[in-house]
Amino acid sequence: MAAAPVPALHRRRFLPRASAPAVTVAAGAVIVLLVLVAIFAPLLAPYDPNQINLSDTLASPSWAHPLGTVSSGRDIHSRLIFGSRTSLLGPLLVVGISVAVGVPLGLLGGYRGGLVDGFLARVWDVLFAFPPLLLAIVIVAAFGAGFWTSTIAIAIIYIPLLARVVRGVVLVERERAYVDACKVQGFSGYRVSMRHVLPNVSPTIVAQSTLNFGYALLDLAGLAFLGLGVQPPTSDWGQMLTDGRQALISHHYSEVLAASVAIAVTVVAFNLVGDWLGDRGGKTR
Amino acid sequence: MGWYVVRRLLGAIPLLLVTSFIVYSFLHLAPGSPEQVLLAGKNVSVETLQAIRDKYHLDDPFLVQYWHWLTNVLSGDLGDSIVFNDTVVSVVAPRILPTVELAAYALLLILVFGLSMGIASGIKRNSPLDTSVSGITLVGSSISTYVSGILLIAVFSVALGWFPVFGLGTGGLDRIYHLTLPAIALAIALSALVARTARASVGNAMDQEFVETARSRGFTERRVIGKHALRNGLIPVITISGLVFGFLISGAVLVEYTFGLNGLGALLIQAVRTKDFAVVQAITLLLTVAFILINLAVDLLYVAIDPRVRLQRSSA
Repeated sequence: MAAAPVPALHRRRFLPRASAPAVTVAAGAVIVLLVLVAIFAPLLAPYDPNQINLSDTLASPSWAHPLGTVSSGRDIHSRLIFGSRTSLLGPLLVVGISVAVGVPLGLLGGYRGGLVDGFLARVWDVLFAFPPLLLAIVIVAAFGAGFWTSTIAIAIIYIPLLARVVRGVVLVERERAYVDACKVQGFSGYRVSMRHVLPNVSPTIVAQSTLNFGYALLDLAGLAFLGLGVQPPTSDWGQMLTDGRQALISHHYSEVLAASVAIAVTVVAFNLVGDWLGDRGGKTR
Repeated sequence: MGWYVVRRLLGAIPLLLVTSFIVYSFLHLAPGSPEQVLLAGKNVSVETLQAIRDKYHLDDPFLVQYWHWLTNVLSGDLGDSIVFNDTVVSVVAPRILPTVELAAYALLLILVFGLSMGIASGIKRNSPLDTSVSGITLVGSSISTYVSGILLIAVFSVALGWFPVFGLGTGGLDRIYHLTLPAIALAIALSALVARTARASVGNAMDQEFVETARSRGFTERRVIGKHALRNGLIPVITISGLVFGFLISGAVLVEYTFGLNGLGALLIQAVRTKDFAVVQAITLLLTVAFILINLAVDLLYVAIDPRVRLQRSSA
């Protein structure tokens, strides 16, 4: 009777509800669109984003330059499109690192409990003792500004965040009957936690990571804005804000507006989808 | 209660030690030798180099170095700034007040607007007011301080010319005028967080049986809400206030940089860029210690207000 597929009753997946609210669908569409823009940036951008054109500086929006140009004559529209690449890649790496490190540690602490959990909790306490962005700024101060340093620095902040959330749901999950059933069958702690507990807490991980993506984007763009993240001339939305702030004084709004709208819309989209996933899948913070 | 306070106070000491140790360690973790890091790559004479090695006890074992550094810090000596050519204390100290003023102003706005929006929509859930508050908080929590700061500058300083673009002003009323836009920028995202929390918890409290009971006893709605629903509903707001202060400190760094305010945050960024490591360490340490102490105060306040927590924790 080996072949008969037994429905795993204890598996709680995302409820297969037929339709999401229209806002969430729109937010999801925005995210898909942004990813496509980032992938196909070279095809979509009308100009080379780093092309300097000193005869056409700080131009107002026109047919040739829909969003105008910056002080070096670079096309804002093209920089916005190329900026989506670093602006999305950074948060993706942050989420990837925080999942790769935070989930196993959260699972370990929550499932094992005891001394291991106590030790991990102390480590998280220390990391949370720093005001969030400050730790990242010191790391950048020590190791030098740039895309990779800022990304890893922000990832270090998100690891304990995710680990704590995972630990919390694992603590609840650990008390369920199926875990006892697995233990009675003599499965190792590793197998029970990885094969049985992990799939059940994964909706929470996905929901939390979606929210984290948006927050990490804000943090990374913030570091780039402070001159500690992505360095010029690479196109980046946070970097565009710094550049645009200078132009603002002489009433050139387009670069600042373009970058602000891009950041805000992206983060709202990730927040909406993350909240929706959280409501369906499991409780988050 | 007294015993709990003592235990919490003692518990903060290891945390202060470990965080200060981490801040100190960055001197050694950074690429290059510690004296090179402190000198920001400047060429100096052998004597000066040796003077720095002596001052930081760099010839001693690591833990001894840290001990010397810590005792120096505790006696008010945070080293010298290579960029300002002055002691770190005299560089950092004048920058503290503007940051505190900015944070206090923002906190006031958060309490007045964020809290009242949250309470109002928690009491009247699913009303048009509630729906609009939900929309505002969603967008508010998604735009960071620097984005709202720049947009505020664009609209109110550059386009309308109502507020100054830059700087701290000359003190008094002028200072308040100069700090208004920065404080609003800092308050927007956090007001959203506070409003969301207050809405959820006040809304939850309104559904509780004790509210029904109070109503059935014929108390006025004002008394039911003020004395019963809010007292319980606002406890979660105190719980998240540690988080609020953390973001307030991080946000102040971004806002000061955005508005060119000469506070701790702007100095920190300047120091990172000019590789003035002693100043970076000092500000990080200062803000982290402040954050830990604020969290401690919030915790104690929480226990003072809600006796249930006290019982729970002492039995745990």
